[in-house]
Amino acid sequence: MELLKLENVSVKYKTREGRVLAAEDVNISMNERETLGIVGESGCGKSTLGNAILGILPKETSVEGKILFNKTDLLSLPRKKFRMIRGKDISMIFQDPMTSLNPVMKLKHHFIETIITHKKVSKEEAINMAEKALTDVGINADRLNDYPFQLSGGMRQRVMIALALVLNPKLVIADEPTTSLDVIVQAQILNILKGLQNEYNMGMILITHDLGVVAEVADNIGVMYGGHLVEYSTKMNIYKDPKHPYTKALLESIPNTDINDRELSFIEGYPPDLMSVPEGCRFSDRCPKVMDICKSSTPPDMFIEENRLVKCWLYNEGGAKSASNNRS
Amino acid sequence: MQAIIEAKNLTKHFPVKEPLLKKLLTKERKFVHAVNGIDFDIMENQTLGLVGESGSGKTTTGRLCLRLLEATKGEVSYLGKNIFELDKESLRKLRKEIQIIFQDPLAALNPYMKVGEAIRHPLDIHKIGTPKQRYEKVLEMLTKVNMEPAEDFYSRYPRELSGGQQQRIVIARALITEPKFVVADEAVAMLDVSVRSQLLELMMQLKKEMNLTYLFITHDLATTKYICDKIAVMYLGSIVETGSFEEIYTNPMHPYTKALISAVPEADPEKQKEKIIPGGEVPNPIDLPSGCPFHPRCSEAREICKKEFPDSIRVSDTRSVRCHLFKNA
Repeated sequence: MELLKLENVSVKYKTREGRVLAAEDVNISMNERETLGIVGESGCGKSTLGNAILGILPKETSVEGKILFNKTDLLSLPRKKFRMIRGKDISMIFQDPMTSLNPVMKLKHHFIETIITHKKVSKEEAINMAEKALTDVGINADRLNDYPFQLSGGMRQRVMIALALVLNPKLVIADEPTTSLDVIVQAQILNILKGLQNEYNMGMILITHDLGVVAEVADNIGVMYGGHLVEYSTKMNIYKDPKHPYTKALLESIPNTDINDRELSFIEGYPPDLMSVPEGCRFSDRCPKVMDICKSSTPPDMFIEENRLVKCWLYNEGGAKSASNNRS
Repeated sequence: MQAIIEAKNLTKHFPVKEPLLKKLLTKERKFVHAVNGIDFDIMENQTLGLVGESGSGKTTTGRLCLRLLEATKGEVSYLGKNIFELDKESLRKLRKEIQIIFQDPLAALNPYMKVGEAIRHPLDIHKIGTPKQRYEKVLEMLTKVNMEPAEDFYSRYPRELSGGQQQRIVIARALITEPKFVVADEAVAMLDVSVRSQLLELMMQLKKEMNLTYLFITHDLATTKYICDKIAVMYLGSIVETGSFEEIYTNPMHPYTKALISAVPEADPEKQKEKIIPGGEVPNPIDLPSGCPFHPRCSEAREICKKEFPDSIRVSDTRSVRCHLFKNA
């Protein structure tokens, strides 16, 4: 069953220097219990997308399009109703657990606050739920009386996970959940996340720059570049048969551990400045297969197979019509 | 081949800050045992990769090699001279020959200094050349790190540049005095993948052109393959294993190295491997475990591991491991 669907979602930030087009016309969907990986480099709009789904962007930000969660459009919900969904049905795990936990609040008060906002239960019941959630992530329940600074980085991130999952959400958005952690701790955290996802039947959106992490955890993957979703498909398709030149180049530039492969390849140039985005395809100035059309008009979303999207003029055979329709 | 840097029994303990009253009442002082008696050498034109998790002491080691920190015990020799015995003047002269590239380029560059001035600064300090020569040297350096047109970049400010370009400036500044030895402390960790490889390539190319020797500090084992001749794995202030990338990666010997390698996520869904994740967390470096520092988390720990700190066992010309399992091998 379809859990979440984004239709032509665009996000524009307002800044003093002008408007920043952080995401443009993003179309993507995911099913219940699925793990969707969103990968891209910094500034590609992946975190913006996560924040848009959760409705936690700054007030002045304009969000266009539709975000359908269980068929209700989150963008048209009144704020109060959205609040009842946020934290309960959709929750988030942030990158930096130290800044997301309140330093002067004991862990148990974090839990009580979250639970009582959404559920009519007594404090004792809330603490019972918190104890179970902590045990689930492998932390002793008596640590509930500790303050965040008494925990190590890995443990803090586990507390964040427990806090996000305590109300049994249908969708959890994990924004770079392991980026500030060491590899061994990262592996521990990913194991916990995967285990709990199965146990609680959640859908998960994993936002990361690390192609290694998504290769392990995700079912489907969306690749973002310069605010566009440039490719979307199953994990196997993305890794074994990437279509978009950016996806190809990105996969080639990751340091791999194959000892026979000593060639280091990289993409020339730098990602675009979203303040003044280039005309046409955002990747055109770095693309090895660039054509004239790429520089003048943005390629449309093209489904070259079922469930396989590429935003690139190279795959426009027979699709030119749909493209011109799209532009007009 | 000559050793550029030789570290012997290098040790650094930081005193723990304690309240005055506690200081007066108790005699016992606490220390963070950041680096505990490590030995290594780096041959001319070679790159040694220092790999480990945060808190393993790799950054402290890098700073000790440049005497940005004073050692508690042990020595670091640069071309045979112990750098901890140098007086102020000779140390200042030595600074030209040993340099460092920091992790965060924006923090390492003065926001009020133009890019060109920042790169020229080391020449000003060491009074190398006339102003005109200095200017030309900066332009040459900018060209070397592919920041062209150089004249244009000379008068820009760091905030106008992207992260990758800023890091190129930091590299240019580190190399303008033509050093022999450079410590790169997580030099590419902050950058995006597509830019990271560009910078690694640049560092390799400069190494060839300028005859550099690197100490490459990183938490990312995979990048060491492209740049390092030899790798040393650190855990809690000790070097637990050294060897080439092939040796370490295909046949890790120390249980910690095994765990570290198995935990690196593979960017290939078909190559997923069995993970060996050690239980618990890295112990506090204030109260080091007795014996082998890894024994509380090690699945193969024996009685002896709790009592004795293991010796370094030489396995081959390029390889050594510090683990009791290999005593008789």
